[in-house]
Amino acid sequence: MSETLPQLLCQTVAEVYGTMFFTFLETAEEAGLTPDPGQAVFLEAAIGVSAREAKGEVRFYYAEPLARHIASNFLAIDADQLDERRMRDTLGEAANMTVGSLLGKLDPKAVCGALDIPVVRQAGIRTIGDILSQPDTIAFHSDFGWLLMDYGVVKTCFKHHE
Amino acid sequence: MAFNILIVDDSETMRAVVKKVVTMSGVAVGQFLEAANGREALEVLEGAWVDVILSDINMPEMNGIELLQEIKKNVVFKHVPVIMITTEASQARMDEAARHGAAGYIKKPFVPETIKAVLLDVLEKAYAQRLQEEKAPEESSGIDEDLDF
Repeated sequence: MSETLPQLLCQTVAEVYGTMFFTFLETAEEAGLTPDPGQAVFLEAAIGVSAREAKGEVRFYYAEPLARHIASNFLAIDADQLDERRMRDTLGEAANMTVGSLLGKLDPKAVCGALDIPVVRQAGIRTIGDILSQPDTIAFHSDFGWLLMDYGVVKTCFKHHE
Repeated sequence: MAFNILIVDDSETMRAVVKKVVTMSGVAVGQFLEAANGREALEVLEGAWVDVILSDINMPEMNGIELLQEIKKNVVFKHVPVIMITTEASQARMDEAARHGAAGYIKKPFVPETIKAVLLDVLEKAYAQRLQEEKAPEESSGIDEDLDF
């Protein structure tokens, strides 16, 4: 496999969100935009990953309008009819599908990767700047706001893809 | 012919989406039945006719592989085909599911066309297998009749 981990990540995010959630996402570089570091994030979806000796969480942070848009598309209902439970459920599924697909590409025989059941929670008082100041994070732009991803654990698990 | 489909997933949202996608795929559905885990699925099977099961793998209480094992052990349900729905990461578990008799699998993310193709393929094979099994006793009784004592 010749792609780097960030390339595989971008490819996977585009595939999963495009196919299942009808949401077009591109990296900040591709969009030619920089997220506002002071902007608050809304919901955090985390999924536990264990592979080889490493264990940790891949985390996704959503702007509220983006979270609503994704859930609304997935369930084919109006955004104003959404309740928070269904929105959380959808973001959990998105985390599961994205990380599952990514591990499938990194480790096609799935000999060393395992996923936990995803957890979705309020992102607290963190801002985009707080999250992007951490290593191994990436920002994806959409017309409905930003999706941030912290993929450090995947990098640790699959070091040869750095 | 319309089919009764049992959808097994711990996420109510995912069950609703699978229902919508199956409906969009154009497969004729008699009734959708739902269960949140393997244990609930077995209860549904006790009380309703099911033509095919679409099951997630990672679920609390009883996961998809354990459900498959229980179904294959049961004389009444063992012919009900089970299609696993999973992410690519679960390839090793898919192989395990195939060893335990899963009739097919659908990888997430999926589109209606994929669901339709897998469902129709599995239902066709299950129908052919049943026909063959129903025919087999008749054939063997025919052989008996031909025997000249």
